[in-house]
Amino acid sequence: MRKQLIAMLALTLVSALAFASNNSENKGTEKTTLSIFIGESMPDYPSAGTIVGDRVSELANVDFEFEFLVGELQTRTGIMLASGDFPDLINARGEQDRFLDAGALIPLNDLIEEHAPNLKKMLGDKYFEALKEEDGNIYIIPDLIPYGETNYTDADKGWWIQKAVLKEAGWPEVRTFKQYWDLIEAYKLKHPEIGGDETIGFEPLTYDWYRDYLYTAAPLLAGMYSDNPIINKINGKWRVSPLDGTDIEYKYFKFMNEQYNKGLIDPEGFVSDKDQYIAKLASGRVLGIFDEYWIMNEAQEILKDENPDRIFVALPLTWDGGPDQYHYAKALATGLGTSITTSCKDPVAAIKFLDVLATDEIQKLATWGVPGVDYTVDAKGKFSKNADQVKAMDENGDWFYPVWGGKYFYEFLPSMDGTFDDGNATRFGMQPSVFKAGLRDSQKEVLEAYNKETFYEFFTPASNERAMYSPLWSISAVTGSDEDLVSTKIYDLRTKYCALTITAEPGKFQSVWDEWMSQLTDEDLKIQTNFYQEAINKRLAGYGVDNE
Amino acid sequence: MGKNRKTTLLSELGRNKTLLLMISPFVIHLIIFCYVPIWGWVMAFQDYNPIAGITGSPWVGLKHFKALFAEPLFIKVIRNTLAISTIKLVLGTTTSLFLAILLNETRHKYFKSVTQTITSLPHFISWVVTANLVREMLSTDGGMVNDFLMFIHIIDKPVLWLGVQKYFWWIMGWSSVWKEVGWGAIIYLAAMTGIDDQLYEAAKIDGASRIQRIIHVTIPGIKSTFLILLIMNIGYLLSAGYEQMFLLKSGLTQDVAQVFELFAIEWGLNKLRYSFATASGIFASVVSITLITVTNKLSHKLGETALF
Repeated sequence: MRKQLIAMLALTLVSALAFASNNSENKGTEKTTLSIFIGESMPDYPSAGTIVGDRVSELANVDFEFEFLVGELQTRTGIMLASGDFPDLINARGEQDRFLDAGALIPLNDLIEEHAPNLKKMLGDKYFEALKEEDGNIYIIPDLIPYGETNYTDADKGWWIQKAVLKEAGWPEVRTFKQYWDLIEAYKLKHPEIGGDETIGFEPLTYDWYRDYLYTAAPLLAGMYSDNPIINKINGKWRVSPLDGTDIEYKYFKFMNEQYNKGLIDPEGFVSDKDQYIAKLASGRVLGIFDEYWIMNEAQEILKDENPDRIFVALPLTWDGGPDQYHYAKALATGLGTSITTSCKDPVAAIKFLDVLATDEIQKLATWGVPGVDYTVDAKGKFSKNADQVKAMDENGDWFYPVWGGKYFYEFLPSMDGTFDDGNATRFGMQPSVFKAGLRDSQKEVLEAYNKETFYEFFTPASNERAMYSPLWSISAVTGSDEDLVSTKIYDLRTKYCALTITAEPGKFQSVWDEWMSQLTDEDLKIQTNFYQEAINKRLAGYGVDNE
Repeated sequence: MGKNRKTTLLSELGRNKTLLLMISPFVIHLIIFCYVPIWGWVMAFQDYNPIAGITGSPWVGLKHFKALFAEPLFIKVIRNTLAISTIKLVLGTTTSLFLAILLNETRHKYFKSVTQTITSLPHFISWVVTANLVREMLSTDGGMVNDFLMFIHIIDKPVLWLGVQKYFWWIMGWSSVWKEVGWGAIIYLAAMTGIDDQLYEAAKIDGASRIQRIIHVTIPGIKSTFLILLIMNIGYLLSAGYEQMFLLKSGLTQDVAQVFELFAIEWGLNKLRYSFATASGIFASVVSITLITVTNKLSHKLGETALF
């Protein structure tokens, strides 16, 4: 017993000594160590360093300690706020405004002007102004900063249909919502089973916040932009009006309810989680979905390999087949991003660190990799990647996080999004040459049948008209305020009644709808509308546009 | 007289100093972790702001309690909580008791320990995993429950169990039985080993059958354990175990799935309404204490064992 105790004590002592010597070693190099919190779950930063990280560390003369999210963001940030102990740099994602309200962030204007020429250039004058809060100071630098033009290649979102359905129907030009459902119905009738299991006409994704996409699709069908609440230009000013309870929504849910009662929509989609949804899509027996590219792509990748005839193709549907607004305006998501906190002892080192990240060198290193190794540069300076080089960029591979580490510095710390000054895309997937080289035969078949170059061309090109007030998702009311409580109340009603209206038994739709409407008060809708109106007015004012 | 009592108290303390010393860590632990935090309750009477702290936050009296009781969701949430808790309590206690009796009657030692291990293992599986199992089992798409019921022709097409409000509470009840039945049986089994074997022998000699022995020896033998557990569990009626509901609810079942703890988290803590969350916490504590006291009194009155 005593021996064990002594051994344990010795062990503690040794580790304490090791720890102490480690500390003094750090002091020897005189590099500032920055602590960085990022409110996303990612693999731990490799202790041996990464290709990108080591270069950043060398250029900025700092070391960094990353902390990524474990558990719930609100809980983690709540503890930080209550203790008053912040990391040097913080990107608390959706909770960033709580730190701003608590006075935990320092103004960055002068720091950027004095120490961060690259960051300043990346932001440009327009965004530099737009980022200023009411007191004229900049506190938050957004994650993805639109820079240059963007070459879109894939659909953002849409009503995806299985390739086999289109092929069997002889590649029809699908423009209207009704046409889409007719195709699905006909195919399901003709092929009641795919691979031995029942064919699923349409699989809804209603788990957690993913449900927002399907439940707010009504304006898109009416040829409008998918903001909730609705924003329209009236007499030259952007005006907010509620989405809940409108005729647009009534028409949508009624139509969806009819499809449900025809047996075209899978009832289980209303209780299953996202993993079950992806598994069903990947099985190849789902004919239609409504989703964002970045969510469904997980299943699409599997289909490309295993079931190439059953991949999905996104369509921009409307009620009348007219022009659509499915594509997002390329906008700066203000209010979210990275900040330096009041706990930071060396704000200059912190801003210099961000400035190094904003250099072309690091941006390219963190998105494309090492020139000559991870991509090739041709005589005209255009970057390209061959199939192997694209494959190496697999997030789950043993190179992406542990060795290269680009993702630690791109997307959740200030980054360029669009095109570099030399004309190369900031994300290699958007480089036309890489997109073309990565196309599978089954995808080429679709593009050839419709005589298109990219999947993006199926859609009406994104208009930048709404860029200045967008995106609405980065506008959030102060947690716990009246606006916030009202929004949650309206949202909870949506969660419940969107599901109940679609799944209502034949003849019951009207009564479910009426029940929803009876619980929705004009007063609440007005509080919500006013809140968004003020928020977008403020954003527009940041760009010098008067929207009052 | 007073002096006399004082000396006896002191000598009493002196005599038991070893025991007192032994219990002191637990008393200190209890004070630090159970009694000191009660001071936090003052938050419920303030508009608490973590940066200003308790000393800097304004006092608002009963505002948050009024808000809690005026909340339209409140009644619905209490209804759901009590319903789910009661279902869980009744199902959980009866099944555990039943399993314990069956195991107690099992003579085959190996079979007994294997069964006990298998039934208590699910207790250690987290609800996240269990929820997925429940989803898979109840799936309309090749789920075991639907397939079986269709096979024996009770239903002719799959039922969306998790999407129907009237089934939801029962699914919560039975899935928690699956998870906790073996674990709950352990304590009853322990109580049963405490029953004197002579009683069984005497009953046997008197010609009692096996069932009669269970009814007249085993059950009376564990009655006090059963009652104490029941009283303690009644104290937990307002905590229905929110993880399960949180993981299995959907838009279709939102109305019946929201329980008190979920409500306090979603509308209190997540909204940074610390005072509101504290008020909900106080409400739950008061209800729990009242329930325990009442049941305890009742048990006393009926001449049975009581907790205190």
